[in-house]
Amino acid sequence: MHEFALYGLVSRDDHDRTLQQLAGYTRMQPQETTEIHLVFKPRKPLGLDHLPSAGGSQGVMQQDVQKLKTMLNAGLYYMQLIGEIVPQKSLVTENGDVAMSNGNDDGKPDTSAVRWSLDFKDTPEPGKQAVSTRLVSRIPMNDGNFVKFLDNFGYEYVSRYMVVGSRFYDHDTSLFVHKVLRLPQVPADEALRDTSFLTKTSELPEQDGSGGYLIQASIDVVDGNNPDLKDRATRQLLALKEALRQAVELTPGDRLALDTRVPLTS
Amino acid sequence: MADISPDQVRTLDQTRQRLLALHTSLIALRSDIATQSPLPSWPALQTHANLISNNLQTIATQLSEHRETFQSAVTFPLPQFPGKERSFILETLLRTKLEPNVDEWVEEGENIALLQRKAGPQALSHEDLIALWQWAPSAANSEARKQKWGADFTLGEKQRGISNVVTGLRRELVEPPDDEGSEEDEDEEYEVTDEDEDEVEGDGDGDKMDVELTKTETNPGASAQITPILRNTNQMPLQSVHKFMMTGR
Repeated sequence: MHEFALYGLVSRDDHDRTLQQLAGYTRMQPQETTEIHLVFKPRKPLGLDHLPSAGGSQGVMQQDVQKLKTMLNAGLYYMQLIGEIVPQKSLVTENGDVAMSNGNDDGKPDTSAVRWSLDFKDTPEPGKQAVSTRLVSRIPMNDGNFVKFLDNFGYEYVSRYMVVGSRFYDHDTSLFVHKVLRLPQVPADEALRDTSFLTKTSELPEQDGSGGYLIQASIDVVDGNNPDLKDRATRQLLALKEALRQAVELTPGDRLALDTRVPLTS
Repeated sequence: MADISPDQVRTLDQTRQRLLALHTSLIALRSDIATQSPLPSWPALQTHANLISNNLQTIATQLSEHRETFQSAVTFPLPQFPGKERSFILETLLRTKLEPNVDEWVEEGENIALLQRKAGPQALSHEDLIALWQWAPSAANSEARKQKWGADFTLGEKQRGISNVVTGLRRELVEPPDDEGSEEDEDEEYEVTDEDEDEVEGDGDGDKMDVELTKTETNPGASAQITPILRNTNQMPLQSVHKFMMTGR
């Protein structure tokens, strides 16, 4: 699956207004979304240390050694376990109307479940492009010891953070206005189970101290290599960018900042 | 090293034109202030200011629109460049830092932005906003009931005497009908403003005009309140947040 995306910034003062504008634009009310992100990092391949390190006269590595090194290091990407908090209280009242919740009553922790999925994102495609394109894959994880599974797979836990925000959908496009909250760092085993912070979301420190939000407009395409679909997605996103021009500035993301590769270590 | 495309050249040229226009308007303003012995009239100054701010705005949009090009562009001298004779322009072009005084301006501007961030009113919280909106309609309504509509003066102004009100308007102004006052009084006033103004209130009206004109000319700075809008000054750049989201650090 490929993800086509544009990104932008929404300052704290503009947040409320932007939500209203998007609600008008997409003709829907925002869907509150809370996600826990657990970042995993692949372990260094064992053989890497046995290769001769950069030495010699001018630090020029032999070509085949360098090749081996890149081969061993290639395909080392960060992975994420994303847990979406699904509030399980029924919003539908007896007469079939959807209850109007004002968004202030946060879901009780014991009634919310976490839906986990294993998330892989490639580095965006290189070159000057109108929108950021990258390969993504999201695999639902239902049962089992995820940390152990990933550990056996060669991944170790790095850290975790939380993303809260509001989601909108317009045709194929999803618009996500979100901000990143830092979570207390705990060992890997607890990171999955510990959801005590969900009750006090408002107390969590923000990654961006100014209280600003990010906005991401994205389209997921099953076959991103199909030029027709790719064209259509790009066109749609650019049309959206044009439509929202007065409200937010949407730009393709910085490729290096969205890089999910683990830096080459030697 | 990629060659500069004709498109980029055009962009550069456009920016140059805009800067030139700004320069011209600044010079014009300066010469106006310097040469005219009583200061130029208020409207003339306003026109100048408008022109300059328009120019500044177009330059700002131009710069932000082509930010990528300009940021990635570098200058380098060709061998043919007469470096000896034109050393000044060469140094100016190759300078990568801002001039010290420009640097000071930038710092000053950033300080102002910072102060505004700190001291400026923070955005209202969601609850406060809702409360404000609930309060506003009734407040507006009660305020509206206090007035007589259809007239050009408020009741408060009428009580204090209309002749002192500075409106800056030259057309005939309608006074609000007076409930407490007698009917004849009201009629008379209407008559006066409608027909006989030249004879009966001629001098009064003229006085009013004089007062208005002098007043507007003597305190030109009163209405020129500067409220620059600064946004996103402290917000974390997209890149850093993305980096954090990707690598967890």
